[in-house]
Amino acid sequence: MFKYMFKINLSKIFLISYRNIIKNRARSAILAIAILLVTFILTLVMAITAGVDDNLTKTASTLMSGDLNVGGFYKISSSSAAPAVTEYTKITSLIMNDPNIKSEISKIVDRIRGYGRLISDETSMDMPLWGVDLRNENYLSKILKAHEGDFDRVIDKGNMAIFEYHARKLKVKVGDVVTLSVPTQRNTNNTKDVKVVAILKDIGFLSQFSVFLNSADLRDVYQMKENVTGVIMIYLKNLNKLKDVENKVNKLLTDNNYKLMEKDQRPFFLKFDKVSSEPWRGQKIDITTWEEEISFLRWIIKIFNALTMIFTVILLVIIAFGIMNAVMIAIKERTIEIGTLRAIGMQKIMVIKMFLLEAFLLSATASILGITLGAVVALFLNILHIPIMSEAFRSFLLSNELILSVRIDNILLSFFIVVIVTMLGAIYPSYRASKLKPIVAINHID
Amino acid sequence: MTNLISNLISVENVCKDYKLGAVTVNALKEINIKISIGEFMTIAGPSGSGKTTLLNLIGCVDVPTEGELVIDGKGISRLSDKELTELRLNTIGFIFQTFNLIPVLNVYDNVEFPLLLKNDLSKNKKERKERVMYFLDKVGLADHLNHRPSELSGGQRQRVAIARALVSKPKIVLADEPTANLDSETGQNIIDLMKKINREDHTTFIFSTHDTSIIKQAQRVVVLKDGHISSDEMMK
Repeated sequence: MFKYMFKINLSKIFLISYRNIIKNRARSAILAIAILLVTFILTLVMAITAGVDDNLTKTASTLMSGDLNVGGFYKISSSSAAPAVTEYTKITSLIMNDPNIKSEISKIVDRIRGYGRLISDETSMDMPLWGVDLRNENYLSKILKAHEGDFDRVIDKGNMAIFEYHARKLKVKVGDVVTLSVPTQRNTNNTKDVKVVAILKDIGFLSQFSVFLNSADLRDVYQMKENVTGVIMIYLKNLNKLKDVENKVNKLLTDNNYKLMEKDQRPFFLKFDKVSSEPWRGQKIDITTWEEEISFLRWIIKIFNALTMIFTVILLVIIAFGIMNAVMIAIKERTIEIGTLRAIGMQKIMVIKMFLLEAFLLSATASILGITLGAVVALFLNILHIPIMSEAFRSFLLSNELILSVRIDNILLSFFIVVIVTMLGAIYPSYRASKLKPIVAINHID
Repeated sequence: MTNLISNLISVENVCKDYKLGAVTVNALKEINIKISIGEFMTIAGPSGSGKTTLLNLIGCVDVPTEGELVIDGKGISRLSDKELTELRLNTIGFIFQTFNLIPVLNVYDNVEFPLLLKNDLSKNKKERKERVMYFLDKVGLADHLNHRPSELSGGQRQRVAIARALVSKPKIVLADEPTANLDSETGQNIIDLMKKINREDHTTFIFSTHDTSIIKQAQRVVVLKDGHISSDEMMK
């Protein structure tokens, strides 16, 4: 059957399909506009989801994680757990002296990380803490915009940058002093007063999980030596090589007698209880990816993907019924023509092919236009940097502004989904048309 | 053997019933007829006598309720839908009362269409063009190639339909009341054209009509009445 389809010349079938679309231009136009709108909306929705995903990846890998992290815990007693890597410079040297790993790295930095309480005059809140050395991480000031104050002042000891979210909760402003309280390895709390030098613009949900201090201050409260850090953050030239580099680093450290923690795909601050309950003492290294460090936020992407899918299915069902209806009308109008074609020797499969080709021409043209329009509008909206006014939406979208990302894989996906669904919608009526007996079709009366 | 070759069409004890609700209509009853290569034959009879039904059966667009039809040596009751379609494509040409041209194709494309369905000619543009032009020239429409059916008169449309029926060089051309929608002069021209092609190419023509002036021009006249053959005469 299929052999026959490809043996014969399809040029006239194409011509018939094309000319029938033009002939029934009003009906074709309505259907084409519907398909165009669906692909347009689909492209925009996918661009929003991709924008959230890209933004999450970008901000998370800036604020909370490297592409690959060499962190871990140090325990001086079985019930304690400090998020620390001792003699980290040795590990950094090992990594940078391995040519296979070094060639994949674009940047390597270290941060102190902890989990503690910020206490203001009015209230307090628990949160992850990041001790940074802005001399090594000057790119942070390009990404984090200060609403008030100056983020660059975190380069000096005793200073801290918080987000608008924290400022509201703690009821503090630039210049205020808050007390930092962190549990130490000896199960006591150390405290230190730090000054708020910058209130950063919120970057959505992730803001809640990041407060930036000078690394020396965090080192002080944790009573860490100079050769101790919280995490070695590795940024790669090509994120697709992440798994490969992770395996190489894993092997390198194992070969050099470092004890590695069992794989646990959660962020470091959710591992305290587990690590504290384990009987071992000393240093264990934990190698994690950026995805694992922000796994607690993946639900947002999952919700977006689920909403996109539900929305897509609804739109596609509408389109499928639309095209099914349009093909049924076309078949009813052209029943005599179908009978004639069957009588003069057209096989059933070619009848199916003829109507599918018509549906394909219409849907492919309309979806290309819809996708192009959607992509142009998405890129245009992105350039406008439209602020998100609602705090709830800001938190949910992980951004202060609407970010849309047009991805080629999403464009292709939209195109193929719409075309395949329209073809599926056209299959049943086309099949019915092919089953018409020539004698019945020729004698059809409207 | 001679009988097999000369009998292009053999209709043996063919009955055709239609169900109209609870009522069964016997459109054809025990029809027996043999048609040879090169005949120019008409099936005559009043409306409802079974002319179109018999043409449809010979054209393999319908199947008999009982009996057997042998077309060009093939018993059609044993053929699959695909084989019947191939038989129609290669052996039978159709001329319809209402012309049944494809409205979105021009004259050339309409005539060329059956050739595109044939495996051997589908990819041979040169031969297709030669054939189409030969038959369009024969029906006198070589200068109307780019006209759409809606731009042609009834007679011209029927000429296109004749060219389309002939282009694949079928052994049999079936025409169901080919002049019914034409004025008498145009109708006569169409019959003259069919006679000319029959004479020159020895194509077998079987057509139905009520028109007595046309009936007289056939070599053989089969008259149907109430689903039976009431007469089968060779004309002088």
